[in-house]
Amino acid sequence: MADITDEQRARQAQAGDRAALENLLERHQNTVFSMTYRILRDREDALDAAQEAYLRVCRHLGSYNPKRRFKPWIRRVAVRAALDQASKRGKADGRDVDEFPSGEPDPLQAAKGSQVADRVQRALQALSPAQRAAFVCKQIEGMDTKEIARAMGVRRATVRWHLFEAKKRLAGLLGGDA
Amino acid sequence: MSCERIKKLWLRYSSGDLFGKKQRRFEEHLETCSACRARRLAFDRSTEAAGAALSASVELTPAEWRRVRPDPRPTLNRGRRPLAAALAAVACAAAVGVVLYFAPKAPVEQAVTADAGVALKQARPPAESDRYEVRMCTDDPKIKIVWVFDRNLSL
Repeated sequence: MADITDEQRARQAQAGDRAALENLLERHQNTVFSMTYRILRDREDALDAAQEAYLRVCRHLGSYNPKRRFKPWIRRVAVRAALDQASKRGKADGRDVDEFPSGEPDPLQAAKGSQVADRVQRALQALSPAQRAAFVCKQIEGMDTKEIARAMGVRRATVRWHLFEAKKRLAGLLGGDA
Repeated sequence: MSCERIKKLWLRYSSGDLFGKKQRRFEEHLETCSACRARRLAFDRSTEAAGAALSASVELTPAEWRRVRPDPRPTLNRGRRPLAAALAAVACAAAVGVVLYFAPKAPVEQAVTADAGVALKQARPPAESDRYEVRMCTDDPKIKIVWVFDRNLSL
């Protein structure tokens, strides 16, 4: 069973093999959860979104094409579920973090210290879910703008805008005026 | 070239979509503009710091996985099932229709007893003079409640 690829397992699940589906979900439990958590920055919200994503995988596995890689597909499901959860909870686009202490000239160096690590966390919290989703897909998952646009269900130009705004905001909060 | 003219190129630079001629234009501007150079440095450093913070391992605990894992049995959808289910439903509806159409219209004797002790009895096909009775038994054997209806279900 260990040598079976995700795509083969997905094909088995599509044919009605429940054990294959359970195995597939178990294998990708953290792929989904890490994505929803990084986008939502709240464990409970991320758990709800992950649960919804797992359900969507079960419901829509028939629409997955096993000739393509499974991981990008499940990642897309996770991104959509996280964004839906964010809009369901009515989270405001970005939070006010003007009260950030200033005076850190080099965030990369200072990020080693817990105080600045906390600033980085709060700066990430200041981004909107869409900006964070684009940023996470780009910086952590290494997706290109075309893939991100597909995952988020928006145009490429919108993804570029989210990435620009995210980086501008992070630079403003962490690295002086940007 | 002014900062304003490379404004759109910042969007492409931020998303890693800056190549070829546009990239050269962007780099040339940065060589001559210290403000844009400082901005790029701030972008790159904050992006790296945020990326480092985000890349920390995130995992579900076994208890959380038990909580959120779906039961694939009732939810598994193999794609072709909706069409098969729709066809089966249409076939069933057609079969029921045919049976009802050709079924003899003979009188049916029927008795329905509900949990509350309600008994409803219909002996023959309804006639003008027919009356229906609903009897309800209570815990006290001396007390019985009886409703009598005519054919139009008037008390």
